[in-house]
Amino acid sequence: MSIQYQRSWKMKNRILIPILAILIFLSLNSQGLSLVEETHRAINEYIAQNSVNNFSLNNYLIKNLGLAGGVKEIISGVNADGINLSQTVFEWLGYGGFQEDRPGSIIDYLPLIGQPTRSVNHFHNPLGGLWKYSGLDAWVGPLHYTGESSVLWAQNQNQDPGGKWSWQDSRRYYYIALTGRDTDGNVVAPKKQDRDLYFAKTFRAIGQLMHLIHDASVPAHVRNQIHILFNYEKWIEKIRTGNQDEQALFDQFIARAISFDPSILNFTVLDSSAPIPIANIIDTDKYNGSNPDVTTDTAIGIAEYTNANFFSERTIFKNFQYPNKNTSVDVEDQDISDPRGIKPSLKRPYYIKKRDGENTASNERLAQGKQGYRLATAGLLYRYAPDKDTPALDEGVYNDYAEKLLPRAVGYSAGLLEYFFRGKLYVALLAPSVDQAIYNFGNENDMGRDIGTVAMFIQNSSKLNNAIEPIGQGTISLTVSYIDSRTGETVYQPAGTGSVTDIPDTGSQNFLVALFTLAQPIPTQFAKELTYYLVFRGRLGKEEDAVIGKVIKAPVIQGVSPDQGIEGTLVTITGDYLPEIDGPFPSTSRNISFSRDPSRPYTAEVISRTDTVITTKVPNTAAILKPGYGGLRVRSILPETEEMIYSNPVPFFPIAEGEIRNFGGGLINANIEAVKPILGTYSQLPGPVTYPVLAGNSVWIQLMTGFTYKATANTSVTQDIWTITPDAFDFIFDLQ
Amino acid sequence: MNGVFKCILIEILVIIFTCLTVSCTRAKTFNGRVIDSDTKEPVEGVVVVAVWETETTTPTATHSNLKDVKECLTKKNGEWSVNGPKGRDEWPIPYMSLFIPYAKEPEFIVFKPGYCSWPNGFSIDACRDRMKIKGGKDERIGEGGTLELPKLTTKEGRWRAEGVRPPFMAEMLADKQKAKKIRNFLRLLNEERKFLGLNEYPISKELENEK
Repeated sequence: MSIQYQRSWKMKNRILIPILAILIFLSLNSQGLSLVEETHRAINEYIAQNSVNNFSLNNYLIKNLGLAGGVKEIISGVNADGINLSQTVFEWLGYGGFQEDRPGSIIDYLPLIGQPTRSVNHFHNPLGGLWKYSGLDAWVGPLHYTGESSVLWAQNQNQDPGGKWSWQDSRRYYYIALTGRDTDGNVVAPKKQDRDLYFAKTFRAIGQLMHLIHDASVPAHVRNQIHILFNYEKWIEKIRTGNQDEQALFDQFIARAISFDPSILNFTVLDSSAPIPIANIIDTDKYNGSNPDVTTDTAIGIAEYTNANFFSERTIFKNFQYPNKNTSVDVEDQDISDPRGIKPSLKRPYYIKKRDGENTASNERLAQGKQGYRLATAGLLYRYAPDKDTPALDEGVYNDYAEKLLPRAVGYSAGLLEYFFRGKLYVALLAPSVDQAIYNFGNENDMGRDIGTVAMFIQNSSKLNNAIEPIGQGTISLTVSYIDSRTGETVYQPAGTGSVTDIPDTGSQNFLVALFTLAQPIPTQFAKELTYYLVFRGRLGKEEDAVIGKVIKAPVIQGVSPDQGIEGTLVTITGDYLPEIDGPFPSTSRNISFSRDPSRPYTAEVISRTDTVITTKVPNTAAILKPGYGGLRVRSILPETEEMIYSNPVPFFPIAEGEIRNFGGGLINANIEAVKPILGTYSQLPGPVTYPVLAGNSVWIQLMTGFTYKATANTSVTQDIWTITPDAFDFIFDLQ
Repeated sequence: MNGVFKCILIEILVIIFTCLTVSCTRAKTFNGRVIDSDTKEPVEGVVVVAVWETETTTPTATHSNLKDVKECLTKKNGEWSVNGPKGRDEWPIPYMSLFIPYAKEPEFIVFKPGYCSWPNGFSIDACRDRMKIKGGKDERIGEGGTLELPKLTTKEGRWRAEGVRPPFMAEMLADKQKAKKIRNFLRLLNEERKFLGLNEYPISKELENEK
């Protein structure tokens, strides 16, 4: 026993001692260099909650994805440990920013023992040649760390460890969230909670991708370096959590977002290993190491800008041609506060960046009427032996770096977020229970009691660089959801998928007219929160497999009472999500239509309105044409875009008024009978009625509009009746 | 490698950890006062959340972990206090940081519906130049100073102020025991969310039902 014990100790020594040695060595020699996780979270949450470069995620979500709470809508998903987590959209984006560095325990960084970590893939040297050679490749003493370029990592569909959060994965999650199906058409998210899970994953994935953009604003990440001591990233976190002046400074930096010229997203990516144009956000391949002036153009990748104009701790005037000690800088003294507190200020010599690319003055220097920004401190020897000088980075330098880099971290990552959500479908008109032409809701046989078909007039309003970005080959699909009031369950009904090769631009007069047929009709009497999920998947500009979602909450009419009436009759419409109507009441609105013809402008008098009940009157205007079966609808007009969303139609029959005149010499018994509906095959014809009319007299009668009537005595007359006219007879039957 | 060297190594590590642990975990009372920036009257019922985290540096990333969270409400006179580890604002030995976690100073958020929130107020026009800490040490929250909070009069301003979240909120929302530690914050947050027409955090409802 004792011998075995001793051997065991020796074995342990062989493992333990080297591990301890490595740990101590690393502790003495190195320090992390990524922005702190909480910094990533804070930046992402800021971007999500604010309008950055005129893009507001909040507005997009409200207008295009039907999320009434916008970025503050709570979505239920699972966290990194698989535990249920319900939090807002902006928190999911922040969570993604936080999680991209994980996993990453101490053990993970030990060669032979540890597992690969995600964060080794957050580096991109824009001068590394082919992108497969541009990732981390650095030594810390005897330890060699390598990783994939962040440009490639962002488009690596086999990310490991820590889950799959590439651009393509985020698109996939988004598609499933919108359709419930995977890209092969299999149902993978049949229930609302399943779809919510994928929405949460979508936002988390985008947050993780934004993290990669932030990291490309950190000099060490783009100059292939693992470095030592207190660093730029720690300084950023220090001011984020510091006293009120420091926190205000952090806020100033992130509030001055600087984005890229969106035209870079139209550049063809030369390296086929990362074909999606988001690669250009990090690296456009314009900076070749000898032309730093190109990096002042906003049509440049953030890694190129950072690499050409800033230092990491161990690459000060080393490893890269720029910034260049001979051509890029002047040495000037600058006042700094005395750390001992003895003097009001001290003078410290700095290398001031004035040429070769970025050279705009930092705020502090601008206030002093000086040019350039602090690039590095000059060491004690710089006046006497410039070649032996040991420049370094101090907090003044970090401040000047942050003034330029943090706004870009915000602006560029916000640009990625906007690129993800740039797709927009404009639905000029949506009407259920319609079969074809826009001005004739002509499916006379569809009474609208159940929604079986949906027609849409669609245009493409996706914009990139202030121009419509063309849609190409792809598919367009519709899913309709509602809450069944009998069960409380959310039901999803697929309504078909079709191929498209183009969707006309909003600037044109053309539309993609799509008619979708639902697998099962929607029982409108029991339907609440009726929602249409229109989804395009395919080519959008330079992106091959883009996804555009358009989620529309639509009004639904569950009942109308009475279902017929003369001019002025009060009619109560019950339903869900009924259209907004401006008060005070009584009021008027053009969003309630008794007409089958939406081309005829018409104003209804509205007595009262809630989301679920509208009381109105049968109109007394001649503008009502073709009323009758399926004739009553309400419509919502979406704010700003004025997209018209119609409810299901329900039967309503205005009553026409007229007379029977007897031109004969004696009493007649006039029989009035509906012989057929004017349109379609409506079978519930009004029953025959007989009216006695004295010779030379007339009788006033009422008839339901929408039918062809035959009046018979000794003679007979046939007449279509579907208009009602104020202060005049709507029909006259002359008989004898 | 002989036993002596092994002992030295272990002792070095033990000494480092002991020194740092003792210095970082020394208890301290963080306190302050909250007043209305317009009336200068104390504001009662403001929630102050303090979050302690440990930070660990690795070669390619800096990881944080939730250590503890506490909250308190301001009293009638606007005063509040929270006890907890002092923590450090940065790693004490700059050349030895890798892989050795250290406890940071707590991070604070301050929230009450209808008022600017800390630190989100810095990004709200109506708050930016009127939200100030006066007195105390270093103009930091928790160092005895008085925080002047401006009232918000617009829905837009309140919508922005609602966006304040403590670090590790996700971790707390996923764990009821941790969520209980910010019960008041969640209650006030949901109160404000109701006012803004937003849906409520389900875990807060659960906690309310448990009362």
